[in-house]
Amino acid sequence: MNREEDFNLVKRFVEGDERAFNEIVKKYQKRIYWHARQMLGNHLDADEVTQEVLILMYKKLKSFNFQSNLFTWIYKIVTTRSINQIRKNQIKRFFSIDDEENPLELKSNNDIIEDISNKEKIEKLNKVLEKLPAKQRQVFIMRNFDDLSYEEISQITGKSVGGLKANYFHALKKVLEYTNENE
Amino acid sequence: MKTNNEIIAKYFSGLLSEKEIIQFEERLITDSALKNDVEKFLSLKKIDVNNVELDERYFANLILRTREKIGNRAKSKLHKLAIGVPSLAITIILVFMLTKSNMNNEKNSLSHEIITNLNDTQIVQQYFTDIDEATKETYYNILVNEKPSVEFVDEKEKEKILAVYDSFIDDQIDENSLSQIELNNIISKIDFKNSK
Repeated sequence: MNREEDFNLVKRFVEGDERAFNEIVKKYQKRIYWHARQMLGNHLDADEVTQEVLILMYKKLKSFNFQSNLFTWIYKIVTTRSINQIRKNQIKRFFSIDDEENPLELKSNNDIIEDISNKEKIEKLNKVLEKLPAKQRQVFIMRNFDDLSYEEISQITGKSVGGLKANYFHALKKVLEYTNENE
Repeated sequence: MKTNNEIIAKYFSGLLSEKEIIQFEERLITDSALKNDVEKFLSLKKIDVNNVELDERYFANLILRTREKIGNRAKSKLHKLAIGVPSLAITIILVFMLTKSNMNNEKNSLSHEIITNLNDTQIVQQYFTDIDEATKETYYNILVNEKPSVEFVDEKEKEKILAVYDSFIDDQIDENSLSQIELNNIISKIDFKNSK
């Protein structure tokens, strides 16, 4: 995560070294995937968003000016793309007459999580996260699983710290209510 | 239970004042229900998603798949350009040709209409009204240098008109100018229908 290392990688890429981009991808791909995965709750959507993010990074990295950390910038892209994907899915679901179970089955069969115990835990977590609106889900994930401070989240999302606290409070309340109901 | 959810959510969101935080933490020691709810929430938080075992092949192929997509998009852009630019050029040429042909058709149909429906005098009166100085000069030179060859049935009429013409020329040679009214006047006196 070292800023200087990122700076050198971006500089090399801007100067035409394509391998530098591969190195940036290798460095951040898992974090990108996981954030998308938690936001979207399944592998297929997370994969789509991850690839979109990497393509966008490839296109826009040349104009990155290091006003923020590279990962903050990447995070911003992942989080925006994930929210867009959630909205797309909601629209698809709204207009879809088909049985909803089939796509879910397809989504859960295509997964890259290898250990079953964790898979169950993550599925349980996904069920909780599904109950949250996109913006609350975003703050909840960033606070709980990425251990980001409100200030860092504010930098990424462009929201005020007060607004983020309120979002997180509502998210937490819903999560607690859900976990109590499903005991 | 609802009260616990609210206070727990406020505690973890950072919405409690310092005094309330102290009260909450004191309650945690004595209130087992509250403690239980907090532990349930913390257990959910304990899932270490960043250390979940994943199929590494997915990440090994990710960069290749991404590069393939970047390449395909670039190709598709070039392909679109290769088709788009010539298509646009052809369209522009066709539109230009059609517009020109329409303009010619309009001109032809106007000429046709004029020739069919109007005699020479009417044409001059209706379409030669807005005559600029250069055209006026051309007319003037024609009138000076070439006498119109006109056949008249009535010799008296011929003489009358030629007299008007000659006097007009005499008047105008010195003045070296010709007003539009005068020009129309002289033209209207000549029967172009009978001209050769």
